[in-house]
Amino acid sequence: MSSSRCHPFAAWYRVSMLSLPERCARAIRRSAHPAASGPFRPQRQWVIGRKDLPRIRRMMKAERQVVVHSRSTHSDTLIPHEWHIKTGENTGNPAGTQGYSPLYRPSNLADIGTDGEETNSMDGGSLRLTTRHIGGHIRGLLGWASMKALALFRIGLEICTGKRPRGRGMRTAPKTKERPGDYAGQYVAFDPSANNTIVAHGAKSNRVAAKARRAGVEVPVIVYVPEKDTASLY
Amino acid sequence: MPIRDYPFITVDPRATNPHEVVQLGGPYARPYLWVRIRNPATHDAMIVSAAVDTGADALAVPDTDAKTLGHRLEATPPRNIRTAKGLTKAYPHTAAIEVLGALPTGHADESRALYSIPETTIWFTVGQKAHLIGQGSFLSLCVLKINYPEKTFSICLSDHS
Repeated sequence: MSSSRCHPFAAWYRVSMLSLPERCARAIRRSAHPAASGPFRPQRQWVIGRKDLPRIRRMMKAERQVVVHSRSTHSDTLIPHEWHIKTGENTGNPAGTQGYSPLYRPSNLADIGTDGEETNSMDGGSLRLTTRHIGGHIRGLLGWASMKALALFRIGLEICTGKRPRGRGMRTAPKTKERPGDYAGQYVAFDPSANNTIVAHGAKSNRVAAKARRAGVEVPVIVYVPEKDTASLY
Repeated sequence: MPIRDYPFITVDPRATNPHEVVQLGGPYARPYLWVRIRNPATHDAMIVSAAVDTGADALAVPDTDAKTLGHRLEATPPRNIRTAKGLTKAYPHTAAIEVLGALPTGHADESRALYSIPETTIWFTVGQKAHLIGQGSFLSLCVLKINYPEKTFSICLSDHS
């Protein structure tokens, strides 16, 4: 596989999990590659944190099927990999894709569950791990950009193996100090016609006002909330 | 005009309840006027809490408000102005302003305009966060009485104006 011309999915196909994120990031940065088009076209840097794990677990459990698609390094066709988690059976592995990473073994995927619960204990159905529609299907489900969906799969691996993939390519979401209701140092927009409820807040007054207008407030009340523990000397 | 016993309000950065961000009175209350600023050309408007600043020469607003009011910031040449932080630039533009009443909660009463100025100059100031109402807007025509112990203030037109 030519690492200089690989699509993220191609990179995922053969590399080990530990090097996966970095390779993936490199591939995404090379978004000019013709293969990086269509539903998998990298759009922006994606950041997914551990806070998303419960949601992903819920989604995986609810969907009971995840299909991994990788892009062939020899042609630009997508190769589906589907596994029945419960039975450990690979049902959708077409010819020519026998070299898939052992990371994708059904036995690993069988560990997917909610809060440590074994997937095997789930009754009925099968769980298939998908990345093909990670661009479209999951994006549609969760409203994420397609490249965020790539990170979703990486976290899926993390869930499967119980290990946290290392590398700089995939970063967890930066910890933010903001709490709900913490408006210090921000502009806050109130809706005067709705009992002065807060409709928007943020660092820039024009964005806050624009957000308020999008929310239907024609003349928003914009208030600058000073930073905490500061004196006002104008 | 008379703006009598206008209450001080607090904009509380420690408030976790959204309804407590703006409060009437309190230990950190300051003399703010609720002002509706309108662009006479586009009729875009916003209501802001402007701190009464007797040391300011005019109504100074953040430069980011220009977009909200439909002004093209650089349509006028900037002027150098002195602020507490040092020299900065400000862009003068024309606006209509209305001083609004305050509700018992401390919020603006948009249905009660106490004083209107159809045309005045506001200064979109680079790097400024707060809104300040200075003497150039209309305060220079008025007698301003501030009752700090009672946390109220009054603005009345001067006999000489």
